[in-house]
Amino acid sequence: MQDSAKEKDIYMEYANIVKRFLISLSGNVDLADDLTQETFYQAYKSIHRYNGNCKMSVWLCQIAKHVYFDYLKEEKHLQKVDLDTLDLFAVQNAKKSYGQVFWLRAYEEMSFKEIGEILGKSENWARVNYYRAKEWIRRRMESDENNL
Amino acid sequence: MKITCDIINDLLPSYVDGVCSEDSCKLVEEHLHDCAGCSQKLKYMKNPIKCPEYRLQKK
Repeated sequence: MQDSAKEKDIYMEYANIVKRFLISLSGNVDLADDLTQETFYQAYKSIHRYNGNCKMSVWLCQIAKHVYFDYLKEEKHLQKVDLDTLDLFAVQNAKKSYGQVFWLRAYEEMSFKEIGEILGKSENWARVNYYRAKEWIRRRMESDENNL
Repeated sequence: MKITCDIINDLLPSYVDGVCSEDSCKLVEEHLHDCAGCSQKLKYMKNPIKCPEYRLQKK
């Protein structure tokens, strides 16, 4: 297969996962769109370094995380990140690590090992944070119901 | 050292996913036998929750 065709296939298959991951990090849909493009640009440049040790989606999310952090390092961007666009009422208000871990587990259905790899933590860190996030959300929903 | 609820809480995620060592399992189960609070926590961990709906909004 020609390289450009292969790249297009990878993009078609994984663009949504990468975009949703970037939304969960940044909380900003437009920014996530831009950073998704940047992520695939970086990925194509270093596709020869992908060795199949982790899933393609995990590899791409790791790149996306670096792209996002590079973006944040440019100080002028720090103010612009906007947290309301993701309408996940409970998760977006939780501790940031809760939101990310819960997102990757419950919505992207990744294993704790993969989540640890993406976020640069241990498998157990991911597991503990997932259950804490779940408990946080459960309580939050319970108190919302009581206030109706 | 006394096994407190905090210690058990640290172990519960691994316990509920079945990746605890045998000794940790025993410790957790002994504690759960006498502790209603931690037993309730375990129940919540096992129960599924309804995930908040995922919706993208463009402003």
